Amino acid sequence: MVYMLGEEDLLRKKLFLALEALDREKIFLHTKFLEIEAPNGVFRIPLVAGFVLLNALVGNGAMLLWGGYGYGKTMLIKYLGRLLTSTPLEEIEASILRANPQLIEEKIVGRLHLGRLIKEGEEEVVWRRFIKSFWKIIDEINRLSPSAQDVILSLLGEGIVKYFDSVFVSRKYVLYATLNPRDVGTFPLSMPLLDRFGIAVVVKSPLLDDMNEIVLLPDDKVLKKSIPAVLSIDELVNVWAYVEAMPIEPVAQMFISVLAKEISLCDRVDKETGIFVEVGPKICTGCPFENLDTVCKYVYTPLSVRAQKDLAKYSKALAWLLGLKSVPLSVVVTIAPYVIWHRLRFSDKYLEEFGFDRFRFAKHIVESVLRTFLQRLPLLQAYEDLKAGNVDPRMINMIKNARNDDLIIRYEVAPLVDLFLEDAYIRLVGELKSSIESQKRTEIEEILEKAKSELNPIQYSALIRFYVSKLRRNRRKIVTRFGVWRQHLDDLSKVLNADLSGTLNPPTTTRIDRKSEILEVIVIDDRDNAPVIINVYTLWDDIIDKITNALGGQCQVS
Amino acid sequence: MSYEMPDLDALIKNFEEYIAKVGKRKACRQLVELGGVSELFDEKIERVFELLSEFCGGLYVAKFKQTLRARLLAYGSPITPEFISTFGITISQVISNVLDPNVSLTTLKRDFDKIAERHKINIRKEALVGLSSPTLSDAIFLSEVFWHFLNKIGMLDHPEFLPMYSSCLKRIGDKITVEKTIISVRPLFYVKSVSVNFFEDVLRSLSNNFDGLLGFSISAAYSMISYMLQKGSAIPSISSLLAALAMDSSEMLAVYERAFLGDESLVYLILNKIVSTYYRGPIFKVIDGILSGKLRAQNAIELLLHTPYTTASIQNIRQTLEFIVRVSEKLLSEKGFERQVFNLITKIAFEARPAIIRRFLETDEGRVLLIELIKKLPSRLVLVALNRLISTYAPMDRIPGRRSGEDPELLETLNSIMPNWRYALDIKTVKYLNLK
Repeated sequence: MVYMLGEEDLLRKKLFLALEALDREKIFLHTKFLEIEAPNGVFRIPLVAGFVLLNALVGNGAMLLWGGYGYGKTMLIKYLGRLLTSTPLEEIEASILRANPQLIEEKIVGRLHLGRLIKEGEEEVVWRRFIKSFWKIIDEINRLSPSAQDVILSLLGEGIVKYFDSVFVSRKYVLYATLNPRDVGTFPLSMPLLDRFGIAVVVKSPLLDDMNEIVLLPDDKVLKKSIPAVLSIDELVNVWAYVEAMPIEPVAQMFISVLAKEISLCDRVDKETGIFVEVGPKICTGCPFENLDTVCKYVYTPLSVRAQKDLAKYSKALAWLLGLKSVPLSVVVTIAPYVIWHRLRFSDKYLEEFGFDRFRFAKHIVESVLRTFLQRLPLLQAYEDLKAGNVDPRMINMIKNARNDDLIIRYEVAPLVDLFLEDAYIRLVGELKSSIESQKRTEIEEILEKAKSELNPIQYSALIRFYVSKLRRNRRKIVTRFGVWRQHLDDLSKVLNADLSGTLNPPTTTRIDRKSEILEVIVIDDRDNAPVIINVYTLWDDIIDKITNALGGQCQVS
Repeated sequence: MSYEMPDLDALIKNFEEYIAKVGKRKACRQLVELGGVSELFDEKIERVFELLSEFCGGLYVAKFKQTLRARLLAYGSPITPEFISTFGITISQVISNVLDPNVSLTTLKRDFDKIAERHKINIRKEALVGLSSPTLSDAIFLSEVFWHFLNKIGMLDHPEFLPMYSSCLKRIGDKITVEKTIISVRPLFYVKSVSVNFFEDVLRSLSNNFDGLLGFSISAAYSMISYMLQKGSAIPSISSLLAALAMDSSEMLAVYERAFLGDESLVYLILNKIVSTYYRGPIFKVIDGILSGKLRAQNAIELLLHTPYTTASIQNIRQTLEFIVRVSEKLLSEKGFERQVFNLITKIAFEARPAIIRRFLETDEGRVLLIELIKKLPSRLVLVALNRLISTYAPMDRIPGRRSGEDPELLETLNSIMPNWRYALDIKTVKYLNLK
């Protein structure tokens, strides 16, 4: 039996077929492309349709399509839903939540089963199609009243909807919302709600050539299109597992954290408290960082941790779609503006320079962060080297000198430098390195144990991270099926000496910290043929052999 | 009662006494006169400035500056009297030698050896990131000593240094050589207060000088490479520079990748961007730079693609195409070469003045060159671009007449790359290429 050989490629191929089908059927004519310069070449995917597709590749993704009416946003989502889930178009159409100011909770969430309530006195909830559907569409979300927005907030945040005493847990879904800010009866969307949309794309008018073609197309109100089914929901959910298991390159990972920090840090006030929102322009006056190439002055609100996670998530999806082995910096930089622009409150003073085009301004911010990131990178690398026990006095000096020009160095790096110069830390990290080189498991475990008592918490966590970074370079991937995983769960629990029962309730990611190695088990679905991916970070092969044996050889190791 | 006029040494020594004897006005006037004729970078000039400000007042200081300015101008020195009065003679002389195109690298090296010894600047040439060209390596080494020297004496932190130094740099922007630019712009990357506008100003001051822009690119690339490879000892202002070059994220990532790998082609990546954004000089300078072998062929093509052709002359177009013909055989197999040539011909067609293109096409030389290009670079893409150029600009009535039979080699080439060329090419092109 061959397991998953080429499954990823096949799924990827199908996704491109879906994009081709959109193009062939002239469903969404926007000849604008997203260009990605990846290490293995330059890739182009259609801008809007590409992002709509990307949103379907991340687990429980939520996307906002921002633009005027009549540009084909809803139609694109509907047809892509058909292509990617094989759900009949009528069913997708029936579950669309068409927003209006009068939409109350009952119309969004569900209603009580009146017959049962009258006859038996039971409060049984009949959930609305929208809540139960996999492919969720909210049309014109800006027309939802604040109370209706709260219902969506809970759905997007926890995947939970409550009505009376009943709770509906939406474990797997893909959500899209369209937004037309110029519409009448528009309510402002709250910042927390906007933050829950992983990605947002501005849909503009098609190009002139596209318009010419659109005019010639048959009227789809009269002649319905026949859209093929390319993928099933199960297959799409399988993609989620592969996307989730994509590793991120260290530099790309660093950029994600730095982007969030650069936006959130301020030398004078704490942006989290909200003071900045009130007095932003005044606070920046005379600040030494105002005239530098910094972004702190552009943004009044910090970037949430959720935004960071989303950036990682969508970057993984794009990298996976392009067939890359890991997520490079170029992919993160490409995705970043689409993840941040709708979540931040910008300074009007600077936004004006961009004609109040929030997306263009966000792109400028990402480019600015990238510039300073590249300038700072050798310092960050020297800092990582220092944590790895390599002391270069010249670089340490440079880190300290950069304090006055760089917020990240000032608040996040420089204050910790001296901690890693302490003898105890340098000695232990040195011992750890030589043990890693000679692959002596017992010695490594002893050093890590000793570090707990001899080092302070910051030093200890740095030492652990250093060790984990070494482990991450030796990533092995084991892919099996959920049926096999379930069948051999007891054996696996014994081999790994861990309680794995939680993995039977997917979607879950379980991290197993063994003393000197780490495993991540990604289970997306409980169908027998759903993939289970085990990322093993280890210096030794024996654990791989043990897992393979426990699974009866029914797995693929790469 | 008359007094004999003392020499400058005596006057400086006994200036107070001399004032008492002849009066302030006369003494001050004589100090200005004598100071004005002393050696340009004589240490006494510093003392003259001190005495004038202490005893004579602003008017005499201004007069002395005026005298000095005239002399500096006559001498061809880029240094200003303000620079001398602010930073003193020693530094002014060093900087004058660095900026002066007439001072050779050998002289500069001799000066810098002394400076390095005096200020205990210990830089080993072999410890630096190597460059393939020995002359450029020498310039890089001197630039390293130069900025370390300025840093050591605190100049890079001086608030007046940047504006004054840049005004000196602007004075010789059009004349400065590649090597001198490498040395002179290097400290700018390490000045803390350097802004995007500042880099823009400097690049604008070099905008007519291709050699200057090349030197700037080398210096910038070297600063980045040595820092990225953690061989430098200070942080260059990469962020402001990238902003001044208006690089988008993919260009920035390309810069980072090449700098991180220590790849010298980073120079050309920066140069291409600088030339397309700032270069306002004649194209022949770019072509001269290319022909002198300062650039590798592949990089040169890329550079030609970034050069504005709005002011190109017939000779420039000819030189450009000659260069393409010359490197065609070598680069034919290189990925993307055909596309580059296609883009270049299209760019010339779009940007150069129609009258110039027309006159180029009218010449026999031009026609021979284009036929040679088709033969040397048998590409459908290039043929399409040439067809467009010829059919748009070659005047039908003045197409050079056929003087000989069809060129069999050209026929063979056309048949191989575009079998239906007789229908696909414009009638003008067919006639122009001397074909039936």
